Amino acid sequence: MKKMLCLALTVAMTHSGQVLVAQVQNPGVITGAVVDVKGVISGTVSSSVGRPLSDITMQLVDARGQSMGKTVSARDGKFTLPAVSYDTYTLQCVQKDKVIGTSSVTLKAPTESVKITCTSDVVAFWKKPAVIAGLAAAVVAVGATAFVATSGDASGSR
Amino acid sequence: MRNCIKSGSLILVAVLGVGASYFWAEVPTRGTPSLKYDSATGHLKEVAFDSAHNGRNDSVAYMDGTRVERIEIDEDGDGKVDRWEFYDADRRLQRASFSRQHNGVLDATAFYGADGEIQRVEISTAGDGRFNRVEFYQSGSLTRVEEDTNGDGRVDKWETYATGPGGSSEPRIVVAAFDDAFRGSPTRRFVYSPNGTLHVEVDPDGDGIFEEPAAEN
Repeated sequence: MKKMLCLALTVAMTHSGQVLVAQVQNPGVITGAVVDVKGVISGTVSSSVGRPLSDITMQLVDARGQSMGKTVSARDGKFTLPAVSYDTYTLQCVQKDKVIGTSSVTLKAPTESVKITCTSDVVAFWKKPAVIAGLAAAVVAVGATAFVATSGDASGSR
Repeated sequence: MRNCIKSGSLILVAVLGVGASYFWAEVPTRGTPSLKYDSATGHLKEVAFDSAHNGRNDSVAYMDGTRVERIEIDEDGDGKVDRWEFYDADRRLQRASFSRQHNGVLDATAFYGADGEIQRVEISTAGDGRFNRVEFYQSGSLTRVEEDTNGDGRVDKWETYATGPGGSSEPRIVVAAFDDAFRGSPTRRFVYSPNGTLHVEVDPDGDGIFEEPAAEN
């Protein structure tokens, strides 16, 4: 039992994501080192209309608001950030010096995949012109032969 | 009889034109429209037409007589509906739903006010039928976003946006708040100033009062 204790390896994670690796060599004596365990956050950025966004600066910010690393999204919207310690971060989409999207990311494994939605160039998509004008044109095109209505009846019945 | 047909179509055209000021604009049509009638009532039921003017009937209007209930549009010609437009009795666009990935799956719906301006958009970001993101608009500009990022049915991210004078520029985030505890209210928030500086505030006890984060030991 004593021998087993001597070989026991203690691993504990601190609140800041660091890992304490300690070895009990003799009863009452602990030696070891604090190892900063890191992981990588990667993912895809798209606009709320579902289009992958390229050339967006993806910036990772810690709880204090300090930048912890950044990268630029590829043509397919994919990005991979530099390795950081296990912790909770805010991921920001930055375009033309404006923050246009955010996401809270908790890194607690060697890799973390994120899908983040940003609001670049979205308004025009939702404002597509309604096609009812085309319907009216179609009615005009076929109206002379396709519609039959009794006099004064606007029900569209034949 | 011919006069009767003409008058009927003119009446229908006139009725369709009410509430759609752009109706009388000359809109070319190249496809051959086709119509279906309800066999029981005799009312017009469907009109297939070419809204893109490319020779293909890409849109089908579902109607009850002269009332347009909805129009389905296949924008890319793959046989799947990409957009659904829903109209009120005055033929004003009430809402439009979208298949953002053009796969026939409805994953976003935009709602419009009586003035035609967009009011809000509800989005299923994963396309799984759970509409977890809502974008709110005012005077045509994005003002805020609410999102349930972990799928527990409760909002855990709030973004507030600002635009330039008169909505002249793309919106930027002025406040982003997050509920990292998934308790239903923000645990922390980032406040962005126009010059790009960032201020962090926290609300650990959930009383709605944000304060400076405690100094780290």
